[in-house]
Amino acid sequence: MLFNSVTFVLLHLLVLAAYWASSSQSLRLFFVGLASVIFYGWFYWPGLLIIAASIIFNYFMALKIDHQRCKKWLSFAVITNFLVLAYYKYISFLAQSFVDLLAFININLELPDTPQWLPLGISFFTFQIVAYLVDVYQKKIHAEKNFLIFTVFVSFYGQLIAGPIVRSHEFMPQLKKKLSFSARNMQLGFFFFITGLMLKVTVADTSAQFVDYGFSNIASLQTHTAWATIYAFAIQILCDFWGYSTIALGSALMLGIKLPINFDSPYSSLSLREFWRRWHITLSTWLRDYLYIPLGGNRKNTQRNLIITMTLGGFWHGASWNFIIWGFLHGIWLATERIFARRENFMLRRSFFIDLIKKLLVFHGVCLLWVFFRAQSFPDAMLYFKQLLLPPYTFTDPIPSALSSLIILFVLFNKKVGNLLVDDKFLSFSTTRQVSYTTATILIILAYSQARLDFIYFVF
Amino acid sequence: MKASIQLILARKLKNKAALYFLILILIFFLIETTIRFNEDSVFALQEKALVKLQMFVLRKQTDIVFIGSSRTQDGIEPDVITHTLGSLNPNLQSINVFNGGSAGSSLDRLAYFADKSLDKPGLKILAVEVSGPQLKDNNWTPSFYSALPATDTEDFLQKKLSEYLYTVRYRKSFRIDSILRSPLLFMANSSDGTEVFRRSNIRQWYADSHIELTDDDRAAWQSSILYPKEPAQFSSPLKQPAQKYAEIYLNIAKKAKIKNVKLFLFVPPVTGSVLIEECDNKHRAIYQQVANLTQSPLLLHSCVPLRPAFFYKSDNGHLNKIGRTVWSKKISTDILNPLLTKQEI
Repeated sequence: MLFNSVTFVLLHLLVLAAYWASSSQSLRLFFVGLASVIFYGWFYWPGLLIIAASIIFNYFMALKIDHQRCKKWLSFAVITNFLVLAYYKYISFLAQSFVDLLAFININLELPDTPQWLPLGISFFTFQIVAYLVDVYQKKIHAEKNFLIFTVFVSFYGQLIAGPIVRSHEFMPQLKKKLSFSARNMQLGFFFFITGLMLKVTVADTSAQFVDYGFSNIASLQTHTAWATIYAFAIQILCDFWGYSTIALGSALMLGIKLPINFDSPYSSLSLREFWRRWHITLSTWLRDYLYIPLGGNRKNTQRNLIITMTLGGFWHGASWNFIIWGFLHGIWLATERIFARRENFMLRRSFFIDLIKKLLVFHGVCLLWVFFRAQSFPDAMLYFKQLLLPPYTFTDPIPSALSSLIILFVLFNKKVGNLLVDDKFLSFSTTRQVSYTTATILIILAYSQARLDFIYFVF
Repeated sequence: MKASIQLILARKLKNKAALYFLILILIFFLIETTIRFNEDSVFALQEKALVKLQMFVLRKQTDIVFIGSSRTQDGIEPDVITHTLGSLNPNLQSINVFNGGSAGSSLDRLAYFADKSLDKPGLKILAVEVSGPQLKDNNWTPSFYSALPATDTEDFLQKKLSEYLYTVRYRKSFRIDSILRSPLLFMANSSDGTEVFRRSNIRQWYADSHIELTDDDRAAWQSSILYPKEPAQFSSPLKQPAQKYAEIYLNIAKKAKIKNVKLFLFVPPVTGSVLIEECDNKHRAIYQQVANLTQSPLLLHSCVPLRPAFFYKSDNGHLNKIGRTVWSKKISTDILNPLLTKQEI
């Protein structure tokens, strides 16, 4: 079941009615849990077995870790979780790479049978669970004894498939106390929901059409159409994921649950470091807290730690060399930035034009690296770079007016929309303004929504 | 009871969130109601061609309507036809002509337009384009804007939503280009359909311009009219598309007869490779059979060699300003007799 479907809206409405009509918190959680089962099973019901096994296993492991404080149990639980993730997500890639490597030295092996499907959201709920286990071990929280609360923590339909990755100490306390109905939360949640939907079904899905065409016909792209296509992809990937996260925030808020924000106008960043503080914030903080800092963080080998963290972050996004290269290059860039940032006078005095230049440089750098993210293969990525950067520079094909309009509208309005989605700013507006924004958003969704497309991050 | 309801409402409205949802519901209720009361116009806003049809429907009086593809849209100048007919016969000075041609017209759309046009009271002549390239068109779409069958729960729910909520059904009418078209519907009576804002320019153009035609041009502009012969069983070397094609014209002819509207068919001028294609023997045979089947005259302007750069736009498929003016004058004289016959009726 997709967020951008009538089926989901219907399910959410039913949950809302049952949730707020229930007198006890357990009953409310039961409804949320049931909806999560339906939501997840709707895609492919055997996936329920994986997530159910994960919930049961980790529920008992957390209790054990909390009780015995034994590092062995933590290691066992974490390794088991990552092995399951590796089996479903990476085994095909690893096996293929191994076979390719052997073929390079004239040893030919047949590729063994590998899993044909990837349980949806496995990367997200695995990271969420691992963070929980580590937090329990580090005594930041106690293991949750209420199985229903733990089930909802892992499987909450609002963020199960593509995040945001929630932390147990932020999320679980909200599930424990019975919340009273708040019309303000309902209003804000509703606005977030429809704004997220607008970002997904109009902006991201419209961009997707141009991106899909461009990346399927790389050889026929000219310099300017290649740039327009990569701009479209930058818009698509942001609005797709930002849209999903915002719908998640909205649907949770309607139930009185607050989820962390995942995006904060990342393309306005003045440096790549800032970009990663604004892009997929819950993943960045996860990588910082559970990978970068344990590796040594800023204390020693900072550059190495950054490169390792970002490369693994890239690998988390997908089992392909392109993602590894993408992450590695981000790591290199961050490490270089860190070296120069330490030198005096590197940071020029801030002014509008200097900031603008920095923003443009960071944005275009990020765009160039998106090529690895989107291209189907390494040769495709190289061909795309050739079209983008190398002569002959040809500019004869027209850029579709819909794409030009989309890029211009995005530049003009993305920051404004972003500002509306931070905290409860929307609630401070007058009713007239609130109603105008909401009506316009709904009409834009109705008018410009495209055919239903999956969210990009579903495959991660 | 009433007082308590008022009290509850007053308290509720003090809550900003409640007021927000209440106003939203009211706005969308109003939008829904407006659409339900103006369904045809809202539906038409979704597409340029449909707007043109709706403009025609909304007009108070139209005597002659031309329907067809972009070749008709670019080739017919209603003002010129009115002016020419008026100069040929004083009784026809106030004849009202509408250009219903629209780019990208397919056969099913043509049928739809013709059907709607014939429902308009007071129409005297329906002129329908017979387009050569369509004879080869194998992409036959059986119904206009037909809904796809539901395949799963989501499709089923979406279908139900658009079935009951007109705001969802006509959602494309909220697009900027659709909204920008809405003034056209209010201008229906003052527009001749070709291009809304070109009317005065063309009138000026017609008055001022002096078009020099060579003898070859004059000879080329001679009409070739295929008159209907005995009704014949349709048989064509082009098989199914041509058969469907003929059936459409036959249906139009049947309805025109019932509505007492004179039907005539025309093939707009064209040049270049299309000209050669449209004028081969197969096509001519089909044109004749369509004329026979519908018992309507067919004006064949396609098979005449005209100077490309002088009469045509650069694509050689669509008439330019000069070509449009000359052809509109030409076609006026060709339809004069049927019009007078109709007036006598």
